[in-house]
Amino acid sequence: MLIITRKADESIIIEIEGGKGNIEIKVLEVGSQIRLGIEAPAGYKVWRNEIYQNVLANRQAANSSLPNLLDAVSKLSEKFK
Amino acid sequence: MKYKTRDFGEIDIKDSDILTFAQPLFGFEDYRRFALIYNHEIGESLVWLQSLDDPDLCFILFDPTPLSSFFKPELPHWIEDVLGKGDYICWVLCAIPDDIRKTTVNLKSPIFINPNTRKVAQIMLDQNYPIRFPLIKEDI
Repeated sequence: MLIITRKADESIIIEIEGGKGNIEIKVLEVGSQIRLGIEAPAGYKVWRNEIYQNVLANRQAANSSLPNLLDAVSKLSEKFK
Repeated sequence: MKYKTRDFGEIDIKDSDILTFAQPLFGFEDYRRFALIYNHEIGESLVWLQSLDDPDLCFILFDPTPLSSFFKPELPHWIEDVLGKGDYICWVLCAIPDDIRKTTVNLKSPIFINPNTRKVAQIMLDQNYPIRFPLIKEDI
């Protein structure tokens, strides 16, 4: 992990290789919490990590499409009758 | 009106059965209209949450009542602003892999439905429940 010290109004740049643009993360306010300003090119989504963990779980849930899904769900439901 | 579904072909869904996500599923912000599809052979412990905007988008929900000895979701005070006043029905999202013994449910961020307003929200609870809770403890 790269560790960088920054003050308010300072920022870091994450350069995306291949001329795809840069992501800039700016420290807006420092205190017991910090406020960040993030600028990213199109095609990059910025998430709070705890939300992103739910995004991943939701995507995984949306892909629960087995050929025998009905059978699988039926077996699961038997466990809870 | 007839809608295409992922797992049940084309089925008739009444306007009065359409659910609208007032606060969308995380990562699925463009999808707001869904319907619950019950399968009579399976009963009511598991239900399909089918998108009405994209036939290929569908989730399996689990009624967490059997987990109520430890799963006691506390609703945020602002839920009335999102879903309207009334009672709320809680479901959790299932992730069912090829090996169904590894099925998990997301207890951290359940789905809450207000049956009166037919509004829905996925809400991340403050409580420290797992995003991937194993549903099955023994072999089936």
